[in-house]
Amino acid sequence: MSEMNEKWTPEEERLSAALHAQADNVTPGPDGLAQIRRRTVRAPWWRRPAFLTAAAGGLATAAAVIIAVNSLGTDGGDLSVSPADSPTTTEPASPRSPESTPDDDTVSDDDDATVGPTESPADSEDADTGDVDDGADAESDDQDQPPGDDAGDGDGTGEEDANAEPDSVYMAAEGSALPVYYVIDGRITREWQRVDSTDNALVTAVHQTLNGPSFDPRYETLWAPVDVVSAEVVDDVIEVNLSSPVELAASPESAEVAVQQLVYTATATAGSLVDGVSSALPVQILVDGEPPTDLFGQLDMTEPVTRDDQNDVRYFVQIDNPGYGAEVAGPVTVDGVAAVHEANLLWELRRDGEVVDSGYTSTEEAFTFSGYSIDLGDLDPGTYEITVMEDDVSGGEGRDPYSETKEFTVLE
Amino acid sequence: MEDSNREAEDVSDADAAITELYTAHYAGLVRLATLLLRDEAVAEEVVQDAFVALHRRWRKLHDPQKAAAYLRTSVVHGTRSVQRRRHVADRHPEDRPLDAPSAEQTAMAGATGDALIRAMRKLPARQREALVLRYYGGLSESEIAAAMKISNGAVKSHASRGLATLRPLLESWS
Repeated sequence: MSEMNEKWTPEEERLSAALHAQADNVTPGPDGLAQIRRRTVRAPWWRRPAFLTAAAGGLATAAAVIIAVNSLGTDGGDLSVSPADSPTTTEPASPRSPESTPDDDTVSDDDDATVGPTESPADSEDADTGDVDDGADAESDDQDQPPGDDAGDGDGTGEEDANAEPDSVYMAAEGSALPVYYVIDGRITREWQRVDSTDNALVTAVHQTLNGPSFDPRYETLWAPVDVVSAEVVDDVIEVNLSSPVELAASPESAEVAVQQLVYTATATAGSLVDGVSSALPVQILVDGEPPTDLFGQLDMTEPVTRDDQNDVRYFVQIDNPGYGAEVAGPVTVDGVAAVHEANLLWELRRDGEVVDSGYTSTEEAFTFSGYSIDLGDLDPGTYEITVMEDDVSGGEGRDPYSETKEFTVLE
Repeated sequence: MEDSNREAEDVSDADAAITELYTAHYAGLVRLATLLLRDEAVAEEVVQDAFVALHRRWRKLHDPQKAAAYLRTSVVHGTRSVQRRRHVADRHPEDRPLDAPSAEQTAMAGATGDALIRAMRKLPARQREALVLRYYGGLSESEIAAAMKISNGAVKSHASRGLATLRPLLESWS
């Protein structure tokens, strides 16, 4: 590539000549730049076709209202919560029931949308099937705006929907897997939970994210226990009403991540469970019915908030299936979402602390949140631990690789 | 709004930079990666990955010189990943036949040159990297250290061990 070093010995010169001769045989393909372009000119996720359809659906039912009144309290009473595979299964909740999990597993295996290449998982696909014939004013403006960039956007859209009649949607949490976000290493990550509650799914999911606990012991919530009074979708805004006191359980610097924990959970739940509701809705946080000017004593929440870019807030390696503590039968497939350098992921399967299998897998796309899948095949009954991690930390950033671990049990 | 304008500028800036860097470095990097990997198609993928990574990071790098160094580091890293993966997939890499040298290659480098390349491919990966980066890439010790993410001293020792292994072949080649 560049000039010879004149201090080289004759041996070194020979080596150099041999290498150059060998290299000269290599003729790079003609379309390298096009290949690179194809990957760098990726449409922002909110402009991709799947999302546009979902957005149109969202407008169609823009005025849908989800009424939900809390009956959970801060401790969730004696709610029964079980780990869930990513949805969507329609079977009734049977928490911690060993028989239910294998079925879930086979269902979810085909359900790529939930862990699909854009974050908004089942959201887009479910929304696809929503009614679009209901006076859908699919405003092109809305499609061109990143739904998450400006908190004002959410407000503006409401005005155009005055013609749509409010429609009540009540979606019980029972039987559905809820995408609940927790925090690990200062970043949010998703855990699917099946909650045995006849309460509204949105209230339930928000209650779970704020109050926990998660199944995965590495996860935590940044919120001190708090009452969720209501959570509803009104004119394209998700309103979450909390009852004071509303406090952080973590340090003050984590306030914004805490808000995103709530925003991702509420938007993902609305998007994945309610037909026609996009997962990109803004969220208005209310405390005792009022928009707080100083949430946690520091954040002005008078305007609705939207999702931050997932690259900024999401943990980069996530396992969706199996859920932590899940019981599975038959061949085991691990799937999840990750955003990693060169799309490379390394995995290890442990049993009683010993590595029994390992390998590499790739996400569908490098650097961006996209799905991966690992086929572990048939495993002997027992309790296992699967770890998925970045192959290597590139770019000399000098940090530990991101990794995710789930414990699961293979049944007889 | 301002933010999104700035973002758009950054993106087109990155696009322009990628085009320039592509012209300057793509072929060289593909050749470098091929020397490290043997498989040309995979080498190209590795180099493309590096450019895509660079595009994403352009806002932070913003400097053609640093960009070239970043590409090299990324390519070396990429070839390592490929080799590790290959190792997992193929438990007996040594059993695989070596690529048959092309007629041109034989003509240009001669039988001894070919033997040399084969010997180099049997070296431990770090030694091979150090030799290829120095004697094909023409890089300085510090540049090699950065690309391999090791110390200058380690570059020196990998290169000299690699060279020592190849020395009998190099001496007999006249």
